[in-house]
This record gives sequence, C-alpha cells and structure tokens, in this order.
Amino acid sequence: MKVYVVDGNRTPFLKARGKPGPFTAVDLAVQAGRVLLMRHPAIAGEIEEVILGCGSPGAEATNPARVAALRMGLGRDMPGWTVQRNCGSGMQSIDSAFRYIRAGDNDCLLVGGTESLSHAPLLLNDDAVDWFADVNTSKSLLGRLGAVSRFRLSMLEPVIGVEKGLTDTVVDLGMGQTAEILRYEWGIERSEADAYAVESHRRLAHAQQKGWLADEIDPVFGPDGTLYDKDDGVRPDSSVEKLATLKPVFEKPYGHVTAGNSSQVSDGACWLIVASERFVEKHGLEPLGEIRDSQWAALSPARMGLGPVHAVTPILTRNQMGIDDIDLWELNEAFAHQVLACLKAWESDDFCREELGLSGALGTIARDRLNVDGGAVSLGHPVGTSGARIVLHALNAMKRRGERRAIATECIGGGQGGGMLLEAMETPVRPAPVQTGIEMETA
Amino acid sequence: MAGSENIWHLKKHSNGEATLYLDVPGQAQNTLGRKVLDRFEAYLGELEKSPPAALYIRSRKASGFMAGADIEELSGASPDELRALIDQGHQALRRLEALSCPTVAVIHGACLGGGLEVALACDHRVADIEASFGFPEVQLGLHPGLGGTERFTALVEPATALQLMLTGKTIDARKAKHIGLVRDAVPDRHLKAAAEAAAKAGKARSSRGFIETIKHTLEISSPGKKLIASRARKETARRFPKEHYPAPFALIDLFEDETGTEDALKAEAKSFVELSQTQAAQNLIGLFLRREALKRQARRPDGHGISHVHVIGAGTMGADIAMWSAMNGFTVTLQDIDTKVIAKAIGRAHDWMDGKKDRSSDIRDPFDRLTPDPKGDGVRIADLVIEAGPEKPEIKQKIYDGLMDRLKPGAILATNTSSIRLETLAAGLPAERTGNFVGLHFFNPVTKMPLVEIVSGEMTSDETRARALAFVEAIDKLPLPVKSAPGFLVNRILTPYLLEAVKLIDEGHKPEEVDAAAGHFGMQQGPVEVADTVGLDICLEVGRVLARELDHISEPPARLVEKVKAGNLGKKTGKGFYAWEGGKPKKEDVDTPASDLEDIQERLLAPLYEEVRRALDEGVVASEDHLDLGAVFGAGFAPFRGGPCTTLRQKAAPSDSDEVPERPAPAEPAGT
Repeated sequence: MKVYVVDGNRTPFLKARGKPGPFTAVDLAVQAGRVLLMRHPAIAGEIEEVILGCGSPGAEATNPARVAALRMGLGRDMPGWTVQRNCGSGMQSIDSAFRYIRAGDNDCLLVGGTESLSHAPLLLNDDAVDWFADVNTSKSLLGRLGAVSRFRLSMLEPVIGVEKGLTDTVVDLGMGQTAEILRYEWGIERSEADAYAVESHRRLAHAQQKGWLADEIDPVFGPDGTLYDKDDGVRPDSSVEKLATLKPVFEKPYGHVTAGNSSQVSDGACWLIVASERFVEKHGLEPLGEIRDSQWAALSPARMGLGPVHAVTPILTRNQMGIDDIDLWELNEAFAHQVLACLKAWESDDFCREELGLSGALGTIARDRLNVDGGAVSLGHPVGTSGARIVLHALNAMKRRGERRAIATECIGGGQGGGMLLEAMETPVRPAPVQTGIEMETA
Repeated sequence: MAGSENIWHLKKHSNGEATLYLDVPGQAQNTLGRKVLDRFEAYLGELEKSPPAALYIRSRKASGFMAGADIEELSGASPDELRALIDQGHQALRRLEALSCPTVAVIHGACLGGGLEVALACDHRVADIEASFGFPEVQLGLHPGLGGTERFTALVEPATALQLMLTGKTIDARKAKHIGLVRDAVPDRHLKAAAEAAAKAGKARSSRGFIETIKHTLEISSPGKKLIASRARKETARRFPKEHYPAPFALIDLFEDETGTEDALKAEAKSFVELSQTQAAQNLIGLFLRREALKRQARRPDGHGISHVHVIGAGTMGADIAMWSAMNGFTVTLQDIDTKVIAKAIGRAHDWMDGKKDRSSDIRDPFDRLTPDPKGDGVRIADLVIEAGPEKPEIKQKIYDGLMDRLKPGAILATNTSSIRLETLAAGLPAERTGNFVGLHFFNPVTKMPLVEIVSGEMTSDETRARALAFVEAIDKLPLPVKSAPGFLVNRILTPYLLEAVKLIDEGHKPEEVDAAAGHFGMQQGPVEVADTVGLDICLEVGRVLARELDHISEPPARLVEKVKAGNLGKKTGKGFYAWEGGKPKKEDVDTPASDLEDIQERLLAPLYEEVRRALDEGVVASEDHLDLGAVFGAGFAPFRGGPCTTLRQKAAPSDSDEVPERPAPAEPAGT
C-alpha cells in the first residue's frame, strides 16, 4: 500500500528567550492542528489516531498527543499516543504512520511533533528530593524536626531540564560536546562552520521574503494579543565577522561550537496528515507527496552527529540510488559543524568503506540542494518537532522547485539517526539525473 | 398521602432514616407555592408524630433543588393572600427546624430564593459541586421573605450574607462551602456519603472556628451591624436611588434591626408584603415574567442546528461576538483581512476572560474553540456566518459575494448592521440564499448588553428567523424579534432621545444637567453619557439614516456634526460632550432645581415616546411587551418603570384605577 502525505502545517518556530514563552507544547499543537483540520473538513472525521512526537512533555500533559486531540475537538473517542525519540520524535511519528498504513492497518493518521523548550521544567536536584522524602516519611515529631534541620541551601539549586535533556548520560557529554568531537575528528574550521551558519540565516530570510513559507506556517496568537507569524530566530544581518566574535558555550575556553553556529532553542509544533493510497483515491485528495522509505540507525553516542550518514546510506543502497538521485536534502542543522561532518563523511573513501560498508565514497551533496531554505541554525530546533518539519518542508520545497525526490534526515541525541525518502507527486520538471554508478557492496 | 398530584414523596429507609423528595408535577423546575407548602405541612405532621433517625430533603428534578418562589402566583396574590402565604411558609419552616431528628438538605443544581430558604431551615446542607445558590429577590424589587434575612446572616458572615442578598448574585458550590453556607461540596458520586456524614453530626449547627466565632460575635453586635449597614446603604444608594428601588434599603433596615428572632421574622414578613405592593416590585416582576416568556418562545424543541459560527470582521463587535459564542459552547472561527486585528481581538478576549473565570479550563476551553482564521477556511463548515464588517453597504455586499461559492447549503448568513436595511444588503444575494439572510444586531459592549435584535427582512424565512432566535437564546442573550425598519427598534427609539439631549445642550443646558434629568427619571445612564459611549459618529450616522428614511425626523443638530468633524467622537477619542479619563466621563456637579430637571425630562422623553408609538403602529415589534423589553434591555430605559409602554399605561391610569389603556397615550407628533 502506497503512503502519502496529504497536507501539513506548522507554527512559526519561536526562539526561547530565557523565560517560558507564551505557549506550552500542547498549546502549540492545538493552535496549528485545528487550522489543519479545518482545511480538510471532509476527512477530519476519518482520522483514526493521533501520534505526536515530543522530546520533553511538560507537567501539563504526560501524553500530549491525546490531550491535543481532545483540545482540538477530535472527540473523546480519538486515541492518541506520544513518541519520544529525542530529536527523532517528530519523524518517528511519521514513520509509525508510514509503517501502519503501508501494512494496511490504517488509512488516515494525524501525526507530527511539538515542543516548548522554553517551558522545560526546572527540576529539584537529587539532594533536595532525598531531603523531601525524609521529611515526609519521618513518623515522629522529633524525627521530622531532625529531617527538616538537614536542609541545605544547595538543595535549592535547580537542575535545568533542557540541559539535562541535551546531555548524554551514558558518555556524560553534552550535545554541543559531541559536535566538538566531530569538529576535531573531521578537521572542520571555525570559519567554515560560521560561514555555514550565516548562509542558513541568509536562506531563511530569503525564503521569508519570497513568501515561500506562507503555505507551511499558520500564525499563532498570544494571549496578550501578539501575532506570531514567522520564525523569529532569523538574523538576516548575521556575518562571519560577527559570528567569529562569539565565545564557545560548551567547551570553554578552547572550543569552537558557539551559540551562533548551533541550532537555536525554540518552541514550535508541526502536523501532517498521512493517508493510504486507497484513502487518497476515495476522497479525491491531492497529496503533497509520497513516503517511499525510512530507516533508523545507531552509532556511538559520542558521535551522534553522524546519525544521518548511518540512516540514509541504507536507504540509498536499498533503492539503488546515489547522492545525485536525490534532488533535495533536508539534513537537520543541530550544529553547523555536525552538518559539515556528515558531508565530509560521505566524501571520505575510508569512512564509507570502513563504517558504511560501501566500496568507496558516496559522493558530494551539492550545497544548492542542501537545506535550501535554511535550517535549525536559523529557524530553531524544537527537539520533538524538527523531524516532522524537515519532512513537511522537503515536500513543500520540492513542489515549489519542481523536483522529484528528497531525503529528510536528522541526528538524534544518544547516538541515533533517522532518514526518510520522499517523492513528489508530479513528474519531474528537471531531467532525471544520470546514474553516477556507485558500486554497491553485495550483502 | 392521597392526592391527585403528588408533590412530595416520603421514602423511609431500612436504617430508620427517611428522605423527602420534592417533584412539582408539570414543571421543569421546582418552585415554592401554596400547594407545595400545603403538602409539606401534611408531611411535617407525619414526621413530627414518628420522627425518622434523620431526614434528608432533596429534589427529583434534574434541573436542581428549587428555583425559587412561584413568581406568577406571588404576583397575582392580594396583600392579604400574600401575607397568609408568607405566614404559612414561616410556620412550616419553623416546624421543619423544630423536628427532633437531624435534617439535611441535599442540594444539586439551582438552589435559589425560596429553595435556599428551605435549605437554611435544615440543620445541614450538603451540595453537589455543580450546585448554585442565591437570593435573587432584590432583582424583583423584593427581599427574602421566609426568614432568609435572619437565618442567612446567622449562619454565615453577616456582611457576606447581606452583600449576596443585596446584589442578588448567584454563587457556586465551592464558594458556598467557603463561606460556610454548605457543610460539603462534593461530586455527585459522594453526595449520599456527605449527606449521611452530615446526619451523623446530629442537630448541632456546623461549628465555627475560634477566630470566626469572635468575628461573628463582633459583626452581629449592634455597632458591628450598624457599621456594615451604613456602608451598605452608601454603596447601594450610589447605584440604586431609594425612591426608585426601595427593596435593598428595606433589606438593610431589617439587617440592622435589633429585635429577637421572633420579631425579626414578623418584620421581614411585613416588609416583604409592603414591598410586593410597590410599583417598582410589580414592574420588575412583570419585566422578569415577560423576559422569561420571550426566552421560552425562542427555544426550539428541534434545536437551532448550529454548532460552528464563523465571524467576519475582528473589530470590537466581531471580536466580542466571537468570544461570547465560544464561551457559550460554540465552535467559532474569526476572520479578518488584517491578521494583526485578529491577534488584538484574541488579546482583548483574554483580558476579559482573565477577569471573569478562576479555573484554568474555563478559560482554556473557549479559546480552544475560538480559532483565528485569516484564510476564511471556517466559511465552508459554518452553520452560521455573522458578518461584522464596516457599516458600508458596498463593503458588506463584497464580503457576501466572496462567500457564496463556499457557504454550506442551509447555512445562515447574518449581518450585525445597526442601521442598514436588510433589503439593501440582500439585493445582491442569489435568490436561493435570501431566505437564509437575517440581521443579528448585537449591542456594544457585547459582554454587558443583554439584548440582541433579530432583524427579519421581507426575504427572511420563518425557519431562519426561528433558528436565529434559538441561537441567540443559546448564547444567553435576550432575543428580540424586530422588523427590518429604519434603526430597527432600539436605535429607532434611542437615537431621537439622544439627539434631543444634544438639542438641549445647544439651547444652553449643561450635559450634566441633561444627564441628571434622565437619572432622576431612572435611566440606567444619562443620554449624553450614552451618546459619548456609543460614539458621536455612530449617533450621527444613525440619526442621518432615520432622518433620511422617516419624514417626521429632522436632520441631526449642527452641534453634533461639528463635534464629529472635529474628531471628538466621545469615549473612544477621549473627548465628546465630556472629557473622558480612565473610561469615565469627568462631570461637574450641577445644582439644577427639580422643576427644571422635570422640564428637561419631558423634553427628552417626548421624542422617545413618539417613536415608541410609531414603532408599535408600524409593527417594528410584535407587542408592547416586546417593546418594553427592547427599551429596558437594549436602550437602558428605567427597569423599575417596566418599560415605556408600561410607564405610559400607568401614567394614564393612576394606581387604583383598572382602566388600563391598550396603547400608550399618543404623544403630539413632532412638527416637521
């Protein structure tokens, strides 16, 4: 059974500005989702289930999918579940729909991702939790007084949820540190990464100016009457010179990864309606495109940034495609260094042979086909949402550019990667690329 | 207990306890009337003879415990009959109180007026969490009459009790628990257990804590009560002059009264009967009954068939209509060509809601139902589209043109126009759509104004009109059916009166004087203040429409034209006839002799009465009742006078005469 993305939309991505933003994760999901549903009144009642990715559900809902479904008015009999695969959560929700529908078990699912990193909780530290438990379990008054007296001011020091979520506890490395490792291993210059970041901002600003995101973004409305209608982390005036002045944030003082060449901490939600071929035909829908294949992969947590390389290579192999068969790449910009490391890995004979089992380097991804309208460095990376956004945007961008095939891929904290092969509906405007003839190792 | 109609049902339980159920036949809600009391007394006799271990009193109606007294019976009774009824009620509740077993009122839904009186005479009250409580009598020109003034102040903090009785406000079960009116407020699944726990507590009244006891003792002490009373008098007089609204002042007098319980109850009964004979009470009760009748007529057994409302135009009116509809359970989309305007509307709605509700889901749910819709996707799924665009026929017609190919078949298209004839707007509609076209004229501010005019043109089908009426009733507004005539009803009778006020200013009167004269009559707000609040540009526009369409009305005074030209439009620009600061007009004190005020009053009212007469003649509304309701709830006519038709009738037929003319006395036509 063929699987199609019927339509999708998202909120603008709103940069976290040091305090809780105007919307919780569920608020964002509701604001975008109800608009998408309203656009499709004929099929809104046919949705069988809601699957939503979310990296860190807040206290408002441990299962944001179900709460969002109820709040969007999908009815009390609408099942919903939430997936957590860190930065892969949004893509996982699409992949779940893809696999159910391909198997013929479902016909129409509402999927996506949501995240409000600005609402990430402050957690009590372990000492404070222990103290609290002692006080509560002391039976006698004396015992309780004793327990109370063991309070220390240091217990008030909170654990910041975002930091915790972005730290790999197995290798005890922050995500930014894994980017430092890749930078070192692949010899990526700071200036190269900064130039990449500047270009990301330039491309997003250009896309905004051209109105290319207007069909993808539906505005959200703050309780104070503020209109949010575009990704607000963009800095069109960014320059290599300016970025060069920024101090490293993850490994001071010698590190290279700065706030300027990393993805931004943001809030945002994204939805897609995924449906079977028979459903699309029955309702006479005009889908955005088809989901052809997907792959998850895992690698050393310390090199999690190379996840895309490990996830995408098997897709290409399976489909007998080379790099040039792909018209458009959405490779999530967790860190500029990390994106550049992925490109270098595919260009490396040694790496492709030793790590990917290929006969040689896969090739070079042309920069004008990669993240053509900017990425997480310029528009932000709401962890659970990004995977859904890059799939939606790849489909939208292909449609605009008259292209045929796209890959959406991302690295995932903890040492994983996810990738998806997408195909546009229309016949290609560009002539099909000549087969570059990479030799596949026979399994 | 034989009887053709069983009102009360006594059920004896195996554990020796008993429940007395109230279920007044033929009514959706229980009310307290003579028959209910008669039967109640019969059961009391039985309970006195062989008292159960505990007695529970509860209602079998889904709607609630008891909605209050039987107002129709009350308003039809002579003073002697009423006194007899009150005495009977007092006696019955004293007997209930004196039962040797613990008594528990088990309350769900509405427990108002007479219902609350019964509950207060029980030893304990336990409530379903959704229950509501109140003494709304003051809104009918009365006060509690079955001992409530005494029992309520004895049970809860006296100042709180007085405040609730003075405002007639309804409180929810949580608040009732908080102030100590009920012993428990629980979900219905725990109501039985809560009632049983109350019965176990025995005859004793619910106990106060140490601090509360001291506070209560101080408050019911003579100086404490005097202080509370004098504060309440001042507060009340500011909004309700004693000569127009005697009830709250009578209530405060009773509160202050120092005599013992026995005498206090007698004083309450006497005061109640006296108040019931005042014209204010009779007019307020009449208004209440007519209002209820209008709402009843608007409801439809087969519903209005509307669940999704699409509002076009997110200005003040559109924004408020959208929010109000969402708050009342409808799914709403709000469209405007300027997305920023929609954002402002959402902010405005949040501001208002934040001040209203205390539970977060109460705020969250309406906003989840209210979707900003810059692209207008809601049109295709809406059952009702309300256009609240600028008051320009070309613009409105252009909006309609854009809707036609997307509107659902059978969807109602409504306009919130205040002055454009429906026929003009419908001119460009395709023939098959005109039957579904109707006017829904909301008033500003939507959150406060209780009335909506449902305007039918020649083309409006009966079905559309009926559905529109039912929709407006469903969003808790008073739906007044009117004909598509210049200014409909409210602006037709209001505008000439406002313009007369401008003329009076032109002739040298101060705005303050003019407003004082109207206030003297009992208008809820003076005409100059109203004009400034509505906006002088809007007054001018409506005045011009009336002058153009009606031969007997002359062009608005030059003074008004000048103000508008100068950009002094009233409250919204900070300056009109008054200077406005912080949402309030700055008024000078005036010391005009009463006789002058009466002259001004007559001048002001003459054009109003004239339009009332003509509107009735032209059939703008169906009846005098409808006209009175429109005038009071739409134009702010003095409520205690019952409306202009009632006022004219009462003027023509002095109190004792029963010659009530069918029509208000004809006024002299204005000479043009």
